[in-house]
Amino acid sequence: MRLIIENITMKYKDKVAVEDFNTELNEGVYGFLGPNGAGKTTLMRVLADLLRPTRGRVLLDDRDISTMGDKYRNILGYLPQSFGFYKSFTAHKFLMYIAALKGLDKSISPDKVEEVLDIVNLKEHSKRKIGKFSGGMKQRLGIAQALLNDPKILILDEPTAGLDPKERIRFRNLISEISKDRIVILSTHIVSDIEYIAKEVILIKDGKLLGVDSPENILENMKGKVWKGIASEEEFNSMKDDYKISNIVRKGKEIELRIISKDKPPIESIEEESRLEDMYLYYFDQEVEE
Amino acid sequence: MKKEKIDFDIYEDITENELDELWSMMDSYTVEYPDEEEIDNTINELRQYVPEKEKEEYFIDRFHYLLNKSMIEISFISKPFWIMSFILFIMGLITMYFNKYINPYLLAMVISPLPFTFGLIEIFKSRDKGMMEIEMSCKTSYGEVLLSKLTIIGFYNIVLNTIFSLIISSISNVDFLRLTLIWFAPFTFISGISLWLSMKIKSSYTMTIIVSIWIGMIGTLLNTPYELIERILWMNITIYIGISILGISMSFIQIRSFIRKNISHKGRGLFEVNY
Repeated sequence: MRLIIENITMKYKDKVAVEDFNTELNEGVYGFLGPNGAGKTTLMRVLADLLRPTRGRVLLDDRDISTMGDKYRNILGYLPQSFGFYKSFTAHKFLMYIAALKGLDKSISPDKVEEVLDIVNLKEHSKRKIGKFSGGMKQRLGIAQALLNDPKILILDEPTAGLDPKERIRFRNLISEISKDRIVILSTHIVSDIEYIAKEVILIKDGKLLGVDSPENILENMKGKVWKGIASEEEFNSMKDDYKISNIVRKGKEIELRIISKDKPPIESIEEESRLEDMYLYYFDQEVEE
Repeated sequence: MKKEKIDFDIYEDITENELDELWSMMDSYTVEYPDEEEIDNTINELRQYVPEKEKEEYFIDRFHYLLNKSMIEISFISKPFWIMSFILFIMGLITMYFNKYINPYLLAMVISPLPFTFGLIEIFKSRDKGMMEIEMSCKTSYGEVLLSKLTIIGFYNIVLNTIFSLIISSISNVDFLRLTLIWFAPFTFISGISLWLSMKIKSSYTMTIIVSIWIGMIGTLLNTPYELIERILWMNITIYIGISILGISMSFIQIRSFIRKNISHKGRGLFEVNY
């Protein structure tokens, strides 16, 4: 299975949300990483065939997805970035409803619903009304609906929003488990969501593709750009505007800094092993959310 | 087509020899055609964009399809809607039974449009509750869901109103046809306006606005001399028919524009983004 994003450009009036975006995906987890407003959601909607791009096309095994109709919907699982629920529905009823909309056979729907509820750890809450669910539980239910039709292409837009650390780990493991025979597209601005599970990280900024590579290669490219050093208050004050500092730990009068820089910083420092969050800071020049 | 005037002056600098050369070059120029393989590849690439010949679909097939979708939706429409609409008519019947002075025509007219207005919340629920994007990614599109709900709620209202009219006409000995026209006119007219408004604002606001206006209008009417009410209730039948046609047309226009926007585009809706 091969999904090709070919010259996608998406314009809204005078704003260009995505510009000339090209990449190719096959089975595995792909992490679309970029800051808020980078164009990730627009791209996810184009990939889910909810938005028609201004220019370009998305090809699944050489077929334009916009011409595939139900054939594409049959193999698509989609979790939008923000969504609501019918609060009076129970989790079970909600999933039965989505199963009906996805065209799942009535005879298999109850079993499938139980299966996905089990996957997202909501089985014991299946008869509870969604209105009484926490934000994390709602998010898990959202993930469950995306999995109902056993999709070959799973598009998850900011799936870990609202999940606590334990739920995030569980989610990461789940994505790793199910990614074997499918394309999983995961959009996020949280590095740790994709650090250990993504086959490739796709960096997106201002609607443009910055680069595509495996996390290992990205880390390799970051070699020699991460430093750890001890600075005095004055040294820190003189450096903080000119250097990207990813971590600050106060140790008495001294400050331990983790610095992202191509060149050795002007304090006593040693080269550090890079992490994906260093890369985020390096490319996006923003604070890292963990 | 209007012919463009050619300005021959721009060729002034070209000599006779140059022109001859140009002619001979043009004579010997051949357009290179792509080879068979390239032509085949282009045709195959474009094949997916050729619209499929639409199967001849009869009204009954479309109706059957919509009915099937509606059957799925019935079980997911909230119980309070069914119960509230039903109770409204039961209350009307009880009032009618115990108060012989109430004008049955007026009662039917007042009650008829209200359940559909309550139903708007159900019809536009997915949009108002933020479920639209998920529904749009499913095989049954958001537009089909909305149309199915509209069919169910419209049908349920017509059935309830008809049963109500039958019972009232048997209790009060009034003209069934006139009674039907008297409820049908405001029902269709207010449904049309409600649909139009719901396309623009949240359905719960539409319901509140329409119900408030309707109750306000009825309240004002009840405080006017009875002759005015009598005049409205005994208008020429063609006026009721006219209002009904207007209401049906309004609803039809709204539904058609909705279908064009949300269903006709390659069979499904596209997400609208306001940036």
